[in-house]
Amino acid sequence: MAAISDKSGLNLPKMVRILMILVAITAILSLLYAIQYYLGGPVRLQVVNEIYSLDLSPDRRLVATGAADAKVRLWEVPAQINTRVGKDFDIAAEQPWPQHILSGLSGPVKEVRFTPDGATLVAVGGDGLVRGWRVSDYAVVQEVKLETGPLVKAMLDDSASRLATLGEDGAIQVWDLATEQQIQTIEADGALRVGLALSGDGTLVASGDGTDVQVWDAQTGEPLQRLTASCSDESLTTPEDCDSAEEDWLGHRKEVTSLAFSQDNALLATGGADTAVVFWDLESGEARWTSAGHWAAVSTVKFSEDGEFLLSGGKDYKTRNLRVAGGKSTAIFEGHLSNVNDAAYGPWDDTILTVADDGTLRVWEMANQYAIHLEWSRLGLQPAWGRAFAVWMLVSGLLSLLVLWGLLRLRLWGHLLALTLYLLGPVVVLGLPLFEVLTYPLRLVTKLQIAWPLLLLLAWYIAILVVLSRERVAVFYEAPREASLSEKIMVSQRTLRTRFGVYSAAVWIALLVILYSVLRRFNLDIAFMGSWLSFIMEGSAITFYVSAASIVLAMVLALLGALGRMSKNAIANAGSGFYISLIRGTPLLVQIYIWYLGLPRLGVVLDPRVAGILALGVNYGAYMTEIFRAGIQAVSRGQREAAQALGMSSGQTFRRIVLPQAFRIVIPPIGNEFIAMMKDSSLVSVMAVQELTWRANKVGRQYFRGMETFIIAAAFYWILTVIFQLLQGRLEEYLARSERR
Amino acid sequence: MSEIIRTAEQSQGTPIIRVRGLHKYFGALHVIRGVDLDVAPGEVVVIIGPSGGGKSTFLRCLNWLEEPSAGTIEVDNVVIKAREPLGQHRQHIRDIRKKAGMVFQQFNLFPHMTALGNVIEAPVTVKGLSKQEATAKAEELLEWVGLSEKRDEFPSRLSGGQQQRVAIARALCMEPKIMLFDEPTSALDPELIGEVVEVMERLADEGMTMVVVTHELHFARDVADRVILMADGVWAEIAPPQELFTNPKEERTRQFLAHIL
Repeated sequence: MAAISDKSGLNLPKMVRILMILVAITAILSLLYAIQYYLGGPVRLQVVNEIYSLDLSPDRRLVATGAADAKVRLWEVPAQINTRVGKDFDIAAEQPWPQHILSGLSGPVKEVRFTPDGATLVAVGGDGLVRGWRVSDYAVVQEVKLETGPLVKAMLDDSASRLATLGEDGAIQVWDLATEQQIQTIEADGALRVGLALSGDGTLVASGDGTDVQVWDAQTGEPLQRLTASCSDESLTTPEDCDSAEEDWLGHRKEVTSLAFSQDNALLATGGADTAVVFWDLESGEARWTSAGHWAAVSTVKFSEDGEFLLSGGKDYKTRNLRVAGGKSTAIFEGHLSNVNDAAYGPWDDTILTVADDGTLRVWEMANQYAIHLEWSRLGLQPAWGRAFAVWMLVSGLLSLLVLWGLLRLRLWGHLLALTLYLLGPVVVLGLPLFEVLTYPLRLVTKLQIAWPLLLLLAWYIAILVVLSRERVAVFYEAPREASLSEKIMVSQRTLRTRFGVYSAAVWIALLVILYSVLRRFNLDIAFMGSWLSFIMEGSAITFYVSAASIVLAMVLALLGALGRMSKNAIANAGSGFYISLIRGTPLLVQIYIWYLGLPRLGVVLDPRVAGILALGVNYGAYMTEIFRAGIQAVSRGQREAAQALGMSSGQTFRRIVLPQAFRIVIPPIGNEFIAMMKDSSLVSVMAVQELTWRANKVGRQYFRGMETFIIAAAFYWILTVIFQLLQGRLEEYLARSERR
Repeated sequence: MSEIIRTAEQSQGTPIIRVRGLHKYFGALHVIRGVDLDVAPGEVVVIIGPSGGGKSTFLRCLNWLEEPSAGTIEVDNVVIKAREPLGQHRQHIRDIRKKAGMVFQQFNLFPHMTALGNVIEAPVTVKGLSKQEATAKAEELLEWVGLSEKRDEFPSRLSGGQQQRVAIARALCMEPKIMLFDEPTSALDPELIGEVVEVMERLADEGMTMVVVTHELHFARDVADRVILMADGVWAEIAPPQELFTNPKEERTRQFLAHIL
């Protein structure tokens, strides 16, 4: 084949030239964006601002939040609670609260706190810079640069004068802001410290040490108490032993991620990566109550002023209100799109405030657990999408250069790469953030304000795809100009076929991504799913075994039933008719119960799997009778006559001539029946056959995670079905080999 | 050649097929109204006639694919009377079928078997031949019909003419004494008819006793020893071909020929 590459670009088909111009523009703009993004340039997608900290002024008229953009936002809270809460309440239509932005800090704002008189607001930046503002005129009244490294956590006491910090190196430091002096340093000793708490009066500091909790005297740095998890039966030392003995494990199983002292320093509440909230009695050093209920690590805990309740916010995007006595949950607030970082009671009676990584401050009504107000620290995409977008711009920019080269040489791979690239972009990198933005509780105009760059790029990609899909673009790849017409047609047909394959693969990927993003909305507990995956997966072998054995039994019964139906013998005919009528006239589930409950009464005690196979096989046999009958009757009379004319007996004719042909006809419908059977086999879970559904149900009920376990089961049913469909395709191809021309 | 196709070695005097008083009703429809026929060994009898005249039904009655309503059929000394009690009857039918090979209008090759598979199927299952024996014989027959290179093809990949030649080989592989052809060329494209007729002519040359229902008048004229015109369930005329085509005695024959020629 004479390559076209040696021809000048001017001889390229017109559509290809247009395409190349589009791709070139894409490459240049994408790379420009990516380069300036990574160099810290100004052009970037608007993303929300994770809010890390929250405080409410003593008069409850101001809410302060500290966010990732190093700014403190003050919101003026209306005196009147919003009472129009109900089913038709549209949070997006609410009037925003007046906002004031205080800047001057550097690094994410880890802590904000009003002084008890409400006159001053103190905020701590992630690099140790502390600022105080007068609330009345926002004048800076205090500025201290503490000699700390980058901070993980910072916490002020109630007077906002004593500060505890947890550095990235694991060292805890206590500072007096009035004197700007460091009071104590608790060195990093290799302990895994994630959370930090300073008591309201500034006397106690606590942090996690793996699953244990360590409490120090803030003034002297003396270790006061070490709170260790234990089993209610003290002879058992591991959580697993304790669980299997059905005793209570008091304490954490994974590292402690958040801590809070009660107002009177009698209790310490801790939240862990194990999703539990534990209430420790500081007097005795024992865990009083453990509260489970979050689906992911608990990122913040906060006592109410009277000490009766506690708010816990988690990486499951949920906030829960717990009654301290007993640790029972009284309310769950769902709606944040990302990790909840801080929470507080207020600003009105029976309401709470939460802030989260999704950049929103939300007010919730306690009684009916609705969000009644929402403020954005900055409108935009979720930050992860901003980062993903930059990565995409870099990758797609570089790949576009490659596409350009491929197109210049009129290579099919260039075309296919372009196709993949500009299908993948809209579907994954633009589709998901668009989907998320569209679900924001905002007015459509506001949503479009956020999403317009994505929409613009989407439109651009669609334009490229339109050009790509023009016939005149596809026809010329790798086909030399002097090629014969038939060769050209062959090449273009191959191109079209390949293109069809790429398109359908892209549609599959798109739909899978959409499915995934819908599932994401369920806030699934991925860690939990991971830990039970193999247990549920083992059920798929049993599901397959039960279904396969049942279909074999069903095929035998269906063949006999079909022969009976076609027989001129009254006994065979009526017997078969009775069987079909009885089985088709009663529900499968009822039949399964009758097999399950009835067989033991006859003194027959079968393995539940065998009983399940009998129930399914007998049921499907009745339905498949018609399939077999149709298959047998579809074999032409001439076939039977030809065999008989050769002297074959009717038995030989049936076995050698009719059955093989009938079998080929019934394979596709039997395949469908088998697929249906694999899913109906879930019904035998009521017989305690330990297949997929039974396992999903058992685990789901035990841990109240039905959604997670059934999604796993569904995935495995799907996988089984897909595998079988592939096998079925192969089998049909094999059986159809005599049909091929 | 004659080792492949064994023809009847009876004396020319005794007929190999003897039909007496054959009647066939389909419900109230009287399709065959009492016909007699003797066919001598090695004789080629061609039955022509208007459609609906009962030709195919007569042929199918010979090997009991249709059960006659009355009459007697004798093939190579196996005698079956219509409406005989079962038992013996069933065995006799199979005996006749083994002696009478049949070729159908629609070929009726077994689509799930290769050409070779089609040919060896009956010898193996019915006669109990080993696969090797049957295959050796089948290969000779396929070569005889000119299809040895198609032995492993499935019928769907063969042309109509090729399929019909495989069907002839399939019937011959049972070493029949007589061959029944039920409009063997009617379903074929005109240009494919020749190859099938050529095989049938060679078969006649081998001395095979043949009863052929056909519209192929050339075949009747060139190959047949006797031509029967069947109309309305009876023999309208039986005569040697030259006589029947050039100088028909019956009015019905003249009508039919006038219609066709």
